[in-house]
Amino acid sequence: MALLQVSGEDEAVRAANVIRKTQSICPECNRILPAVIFERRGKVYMTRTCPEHGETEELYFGSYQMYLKFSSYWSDGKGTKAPNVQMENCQCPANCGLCSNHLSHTGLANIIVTNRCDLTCWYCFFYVKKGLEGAYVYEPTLEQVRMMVRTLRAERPVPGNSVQITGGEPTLREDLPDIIRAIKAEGVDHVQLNTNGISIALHPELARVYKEAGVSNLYMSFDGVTPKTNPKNHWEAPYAVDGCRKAGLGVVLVPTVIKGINDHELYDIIGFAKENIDIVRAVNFQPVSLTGRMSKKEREKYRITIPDCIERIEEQSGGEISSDSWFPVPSCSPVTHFIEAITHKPQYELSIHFACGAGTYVYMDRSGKLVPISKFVDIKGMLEYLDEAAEEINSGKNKWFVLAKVAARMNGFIDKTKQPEGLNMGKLLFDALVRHDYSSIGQFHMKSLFLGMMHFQDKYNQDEERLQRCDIHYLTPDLRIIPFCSFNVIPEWYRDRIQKKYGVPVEEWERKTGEKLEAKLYKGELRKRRPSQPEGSQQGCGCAVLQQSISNI
Amino acid sequence: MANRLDLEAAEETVVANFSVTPLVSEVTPGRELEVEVAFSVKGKLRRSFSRASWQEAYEAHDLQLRLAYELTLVRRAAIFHHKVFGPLRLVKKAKLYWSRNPDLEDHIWAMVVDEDGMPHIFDREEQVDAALFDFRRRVLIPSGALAPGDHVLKAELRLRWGRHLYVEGGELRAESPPFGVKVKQA
Repeated sequence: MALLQVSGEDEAVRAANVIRKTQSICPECNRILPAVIFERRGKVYMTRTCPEHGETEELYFGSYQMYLKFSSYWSDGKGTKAPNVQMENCQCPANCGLCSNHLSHTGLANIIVTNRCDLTCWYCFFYVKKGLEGAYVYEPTLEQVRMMVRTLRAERPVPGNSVQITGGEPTLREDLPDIIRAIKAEGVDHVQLNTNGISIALHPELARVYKEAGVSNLYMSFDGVTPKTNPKNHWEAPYAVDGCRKAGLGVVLVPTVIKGINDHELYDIIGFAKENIDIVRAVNFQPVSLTGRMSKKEREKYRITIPDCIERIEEQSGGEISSDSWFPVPSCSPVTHFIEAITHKPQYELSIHFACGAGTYVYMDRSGKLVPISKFVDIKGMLEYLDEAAEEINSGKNKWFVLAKVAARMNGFIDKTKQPEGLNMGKLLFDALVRHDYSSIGQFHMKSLFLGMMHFQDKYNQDEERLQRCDIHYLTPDLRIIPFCSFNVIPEWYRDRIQKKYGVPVEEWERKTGEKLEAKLYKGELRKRRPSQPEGSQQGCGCAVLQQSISNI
Repeated sequence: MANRLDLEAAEETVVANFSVTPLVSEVTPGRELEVEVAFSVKGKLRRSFSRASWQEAYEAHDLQLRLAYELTLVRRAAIFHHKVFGPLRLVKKAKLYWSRNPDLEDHIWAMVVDEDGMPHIFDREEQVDAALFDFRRRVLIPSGALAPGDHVLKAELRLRWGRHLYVEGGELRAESPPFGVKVKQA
């Protein structure tokens, strides 16, 4: 570790508490550096030293205990056997494409269909801003979208099967239904639409149009339950949810969590999802990625990690959703390996790094209380048993015999005294794992919520071991597949370069289309008080109207 | 020394140095008996799971070596042995992963997840080897398992592992040497 200079009062603590060594980048110059992950006072940090720009130390994971639990589920994926970039030596984050050293196939492929947006949020780095040097409108053609999806479908051993249409604001594209149909026509099963929901709030019929075109669910920003914490779509989100309800289009709420800004409302956000459990399928919290140049003090002010969010949810829920309910994403691997052992075919695998994401399911019982499934299912024991069963099949035991054994044993992992009334978890697991019948999971979803966490990286906490396992990727018109945390963490190498190459300057776009970029900006129609309402009233807007509409239902 | 070398070179996999040591020689009724169980896995399995095989196994997506074992404590009697505790089922495993530790010569490395689910990452192959194949664990025997009086006990071990690119699956059984323990009268 020639470049690593550990100095100062924490030297002894760091040296004694090294957890593992990895690689990172210098946030100033992107130089690849050796890095050390270490524990200090119950939290996990990463440090590295650039010979030119000095040391950068950053909070990596807010709980050492949770880090230990999560890292025990470490499970590398199958990677891609048909890489677009052949690399002798791994050089993350350079040359992404995917390269031959990438360890996860695409779990979710993002396609940016436009970088125009109808909002101008101060903290967003992702929409085209008129007047800025290098402002390009990026809108791939339908044919380019088709080719991108074909690249995704050509992945081996597991062809990509899940696409997120994203932006900017994708609903600004009038040909969006054609794009959705084109993606479906290439054989993609799952199409998710990432939106702020404003178009649907204004024109609820769009929800049906998108659903009929092939959208599986909306992936909608929802940062809090007050106008202050959710200036983006506080007033509009309930209307959008209502539009989706009428169309039968599921919604995933996506809060970006920033310490000191909205981290006190995490359970309230879950509460909003619970009120709409008939149509909201999940809440996927995203601890903020800190972009741009920030001082250490500023980063400490806003930095929040997955364990911090999980602990806040436990506190805010009064222990209802406890910290031990959460499992890292790669903990699903034993399920995948078991199905692979039975089918003898490579299966879709969520093999991201354990520090990237976490999740749990909560089931709403008859009293309206949310019960995490780990309260009545021995998740750890069941995963271990599936691991063992897969190993037995792979070691030559008759798979039907093992399957029968698994089927007989499944109920043993369920504590029926704690299982919410009306739920038969044993049957559900049996149907899904043994019969591959997922219909009962659909019914389970009507009374349950998936709670997820996904912490995208930034230049300050970038760990190349995480990047190498990333399974959320971007499809680009040059037919590469680029991991999220390269694409957005080093935009000067990826996102900006691609958008410039395949986009057109704003002025040219305006000339060609005859439109003005700002013409599509949202003018806040749904934020205005209705004429019949008294001044200062918030009734008829925002979350209040939805609660009223739910109680009417 | 010759014995140790013989075991390491053994054609088959063997359990060596299996011992059970009570932490106290006398226990009062109502108190749990704590014993330390130790054994080592030597021979073919241990030799096969080495840096030399990690890369090939990793490329074949053969990523995990599970050592599942069961411990049963029995009381020796004239004809039959009576089970007093167990089987206690435990799993220790090694997971192969791609490390970006610049200090390592090979990028495919192994971490060990112990019986309590605690992960251990090491810099040296010998450390991985010892953490995986040398077992030392304290086990609590419930207070009601033994009646007052003198007992001669022994432990039975059943160890299993699956088939991998580098080794065939297998199962081993072993017995510890007997040990004595006294449960005092109430």
